[in-house]
Amino acid sequence: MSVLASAHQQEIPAFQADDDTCPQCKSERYLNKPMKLLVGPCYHKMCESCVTQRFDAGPAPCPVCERILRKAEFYQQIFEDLTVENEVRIRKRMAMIFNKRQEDFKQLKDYNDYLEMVEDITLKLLYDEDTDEAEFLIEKYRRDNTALIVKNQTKLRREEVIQRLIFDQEQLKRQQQWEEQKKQYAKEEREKAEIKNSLITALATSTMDAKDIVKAKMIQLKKSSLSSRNAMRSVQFNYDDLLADVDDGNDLDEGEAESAPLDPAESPYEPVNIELMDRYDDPFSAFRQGGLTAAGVTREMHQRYLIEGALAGLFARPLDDDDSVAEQQ
Amino acid sequence: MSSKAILGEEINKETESLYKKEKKLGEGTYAVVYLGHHIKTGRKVAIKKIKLGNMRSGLDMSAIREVKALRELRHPNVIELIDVFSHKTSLNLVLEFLDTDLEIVIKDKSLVFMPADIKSWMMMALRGLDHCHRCWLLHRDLKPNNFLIASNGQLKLADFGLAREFGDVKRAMTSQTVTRWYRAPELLLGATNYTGSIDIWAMGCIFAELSLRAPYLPGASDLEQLTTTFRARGTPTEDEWPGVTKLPAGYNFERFPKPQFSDLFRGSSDDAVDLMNKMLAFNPVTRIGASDALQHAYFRSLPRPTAPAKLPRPAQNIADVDVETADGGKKRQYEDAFDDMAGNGIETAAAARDRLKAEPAAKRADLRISSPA
Amino acid sequence: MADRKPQLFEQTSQYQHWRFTPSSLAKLRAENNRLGVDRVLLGLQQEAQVDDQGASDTRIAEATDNLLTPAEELKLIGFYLQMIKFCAKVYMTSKLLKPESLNNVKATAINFMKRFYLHNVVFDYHPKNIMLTCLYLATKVENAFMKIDDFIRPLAAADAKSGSKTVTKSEDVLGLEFIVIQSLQFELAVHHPYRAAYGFYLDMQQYIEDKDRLRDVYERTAHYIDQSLHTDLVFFYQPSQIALGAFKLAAKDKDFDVDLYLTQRFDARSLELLFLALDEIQDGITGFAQATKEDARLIDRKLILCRNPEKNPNSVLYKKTVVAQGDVPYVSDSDSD
Repeated sequence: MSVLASAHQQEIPAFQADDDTCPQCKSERYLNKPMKLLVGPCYHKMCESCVTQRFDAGPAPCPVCERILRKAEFYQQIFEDLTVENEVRIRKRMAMIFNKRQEDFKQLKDYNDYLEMVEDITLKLLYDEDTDEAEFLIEKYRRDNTALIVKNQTKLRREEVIQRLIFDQEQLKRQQQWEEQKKQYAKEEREKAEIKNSLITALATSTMDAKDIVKAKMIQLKKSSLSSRNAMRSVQFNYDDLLADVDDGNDLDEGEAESAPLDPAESPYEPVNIELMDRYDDPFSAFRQGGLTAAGVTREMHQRYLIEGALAGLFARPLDDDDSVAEQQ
Repeated sequence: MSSKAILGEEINKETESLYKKEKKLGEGTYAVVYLGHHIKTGRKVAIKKIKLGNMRSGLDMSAIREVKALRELRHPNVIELIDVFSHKTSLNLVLEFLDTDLEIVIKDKSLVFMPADIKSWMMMALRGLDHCHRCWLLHRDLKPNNFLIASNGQLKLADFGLAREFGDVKRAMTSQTVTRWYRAPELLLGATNYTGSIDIWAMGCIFAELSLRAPYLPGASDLEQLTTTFRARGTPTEDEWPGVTKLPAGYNFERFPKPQFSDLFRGSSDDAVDLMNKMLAFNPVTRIGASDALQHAYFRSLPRPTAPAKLPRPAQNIADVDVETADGGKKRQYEDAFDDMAGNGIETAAAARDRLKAEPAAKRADLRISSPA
Repeated sequence: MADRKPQLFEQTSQYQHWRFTPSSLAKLRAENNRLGVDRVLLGLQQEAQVDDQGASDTRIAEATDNLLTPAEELKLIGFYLQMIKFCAKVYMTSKLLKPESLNNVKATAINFMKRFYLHNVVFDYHPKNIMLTCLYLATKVENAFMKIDDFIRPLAAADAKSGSKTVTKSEDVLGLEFIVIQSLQFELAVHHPYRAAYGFYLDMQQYIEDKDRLRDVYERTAHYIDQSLHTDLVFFYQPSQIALGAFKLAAKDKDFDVDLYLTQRFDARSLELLFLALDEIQDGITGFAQATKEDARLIDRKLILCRNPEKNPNSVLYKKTVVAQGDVPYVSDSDSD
C-alpha cells in the first residue's frame, strides 16, 4: 500500500510551526490560529487567503520569484523539510503513472531495467534538469501504456479497499472480544460473590460439619468458573465474505461452503511427505536404459514410490479380537 | 457372523437383491447403463451392466481395471462405486447416479461460463485427479465426457476402464492410450513408460477447451495430432524438452514457432493462462503436477471459484430422456488394448517407427524440414 | 482439535475388508467348514432323490466317514498354493510372463486363492481348478495379460507329458472366473511386501554404511517374502511390516543389524509395537510348515468321497439338474478378441 495514500487516509496533520507568518499579509498564527500556510511549487509560502486573493482570477507571478503559478499548484506542507516535500510529491506523481509491478515482467532483469528508467526520469525532475525531456518521456510512456496503467491502478484500488476492510474487521473483532471478556469477567465475579454469600449463610444456618460445607461450596465454585469460561465463544470473522463483495459480479453466497476459508488443495486424507536423499545406490534400477526421463519418469519419482510403500501402514496396529467382529462387512 | 452370508455366491445374491433396475439410460458395445435405486434407502444409482462374452478370454480387462481402481478410490471428486455384483454372465457396477457431464455442459450453447465457473470445475477436477495420483493410479482417459456432474454440482472423475498403476518403472505400458485430442506429446511420440503428467496434459487441454468452448487440439489422425499440437504450442526443442529426440518416434518435425498464448486466450486472466501453460509444458518432468497446480496462484486469486450448486447446468437431464449418451454409450476405442503382452497391443519402439513410416508419404512430406534449421 | 485425517492405506480394500485376528480367521474357516459339510450332506440327499441307481446310501456313508476337517482343508489348499509358484515360472520361461511381473502375479494369485477359501469350501470347489483360475485372474489384474489359449498351452502340454487322463481346457479355467471374483467381493487390488522391501533398501542407505552388505541382505529378503505368502500373515499385518520382518530374517543370515536403522529412523514409542509385530512376523515365516505332496494325496483321496455333488460336474446330481437347466456358465467361442 502506498505510503502517501495511507498517510492521507490517516490524515497526518500538516506541518505547522507556532511562529508561522504569512510573508504577504504578515498575519501571524499567534493572532490567527486557523491560518493555513500553503506552499507553491517554487517553495514559497503564503497563507490561504492570500493565495485565494492572488490566484483566484487566474495564473499570476509568485511575489517572491515571479514564476507564473496557478492556484491548484499550492498545497499544504506535510514535511518540515521542503525538499523532502517536493521529492515526495514528484515520486507520488510518477507512481501514479509508472505503476508496473514485478509480475508484469517475464524476467527480473527487465523489471530492474524498468525501475532504472523510471528513476532516471525522476531524478531529472527532482534536480530540475532536462525537465522538458522528462515530461516528454512521461507523456510518451503514458500514451504507450494506458491500458496497463489503468489495469494496475484498478488493482491497487482494490487492494486498498480489501486492506481497509480487513483492518476494520480486525478492529471490530478486537472490540467485540474485549466486550466479551469484560462481560465474562463481570459474570465470574458475580458468581463468586454469590457462592461466597451462600457459603456464609450455609455455615450460619446448616447443621452439617463446617468442613463439609466448605468443601461442597469449593467444588461448586470451581465448576461454575470452568463452565462459564467454556461458554465464551471466540468471535470468528470471515474475510472471504467481504472479499466476495469486492469481487465483480459474484453474489454473496449464503451456502456453508462459501463461508469456509478456501484451501484449493484440501484433501480428506493425511498428506505424505517424504524427504529423499540426493543419491541412492540402486543396481536394480531400470534407469540404465535411457528414454525414461524424457517421458517424465524420474529416479526421484521411482524412489518416492518405493519409500512411500515402505512406510505405508508401518505402524498400523493389528486387529484386536474386539475390533474384528465389527470389521467384517 | 452366522446370520450374514459367508459363501461367495450368497454374498453376491444378497448384494444383487439390494438394488432395483428401472429404465435404460444408454447402451454401447461394452456396457448398458440403467437407472436404478437402492430399495431400502431409495438412493438413485446407475447400474452399469458389462456384457461378458465379448472376450474369448473371459472377464474383460476394461471391467477388471475399472472395478479394481474404483474399489480403492474414495474421494468427493471421484465417482463412487457403491457395490458390485454379477448376474449370470454380466458384471454389474452400482455407481452413484450423476446427471450430466462436462462435454454436455460445454456443448450447451445456452449456458454462459464465467471465469469463476471454469475455476470451480478445474479445482474439483484437479482434486479428483490429485487423489488418483497420490494412490499411484493413472486415469489415462481424461476428456470432458469422463467428468460427470452430480445434481449438487460436484464434478467427479469417472470411467476408469483404462486406469492402471504407475511408479514401478520396470513395467512397460502401452502408448496407445487416452483419446487422441487429449493425448500428451510423450504418448504421441511412443513412450512406453510414463507418469501422471499425461493426465495433466489432458487436464490442460480441458482447461483450454473450457475457456474456448471448443476443443483445443483436435487432430484428425494420430499423425496429424502431432502437427496440430506443435502448431498450437510450437515445436519443442531439445533444450526445452531434453530427451525428446530419444523417444521412439523421435522424428525431425517441422519447426513451428511458439505463438503468443495470451492472444488466443484473451478472455482468460493472466494466472489462468500461466497455469494452462504449465499444464501444457512439453517436458513431462517440468510439467506441473496435480497438487502443485492446486497451489497455483490461479486458485487463490479473485474471483473465487463458484460454489458447485451455482454452476451452470444443462436444462435436460439424462434420466429424463431416453438418449443414447452417458457412460455406456461411448465408443470404446481401446476395448482391445491390453497391456504388457508380447506382440499384442503394446507397441515397441520399433513398431512405433514402422507404424509411422507406413503413413502415406504425402502427409510426411509436410513434416520434413523445408529449410535448414 | 480436528481428528487426524485417515491415511491413504487405510482406504484400501485390503485394509478395510481383509484383516483378521488369528482367532477370527480360525472361526471363519471353521464356520465355512461347517457350512460345507452341511451342503455336502444336503447335496447327497438331493442326489439320492434323483438317483435311480441306488448307490446313494453307500455314498452318504462314505462321505460322512471322510469329511475333511478345517485343518485338512487348509493343508490341501496350502499344497496347491505351492503349485502357483511353479506354474508362474513355467509361463516366464515360455516368455508369456515378463520377469518383472513374476512376483506380483504369483503373490496376487496366492492371495486370491487364500481369500477365496474364506468364502468357499473345498467340498464345493477343488483347489486344483481354483488355483488355475486365480492365476489367470492374477495375470489380468497385475497387467500381465495373456490370451486364454496361451495360458492353456503349457498346462495341456504338462498334462499330456504326465499322461494324465484329463486335459485342462479353457472352459475349466474361465468357468470359475465368476465364482472366484464374487468370492473376492470384487476387491482386486492386493499390496505385497516386495515394493516395501525395495523401499526399505533405499531408505536404509541413509543410515547404513556398508552398502554392499545391505544389497546382499535385500536380495535375500525376497526369499523370505516368498515364504510369507503362504502364511496367514497377510491377514494380520501390513505389507510394509511383513517386508521388514523378512528383512530382519535376511539380515540374520548375513550377520547384519536392522534394528540400528529402526532406532535411528523412528521414535521409540512407535517402535515398541513394531518390534513386537516384527517378532511375530519372523516366527510366522520361519515356523510355517509346508504341506507335502503325501499329505495332499491322502487328503485328496478323502475329498473324492465327500465332494458336494451339487458342484461336481461328474456327479449324477449335476448332470441331472445343472446341465438340464442350462445354467452352465457362458463362455464365448467367438474369435473377436
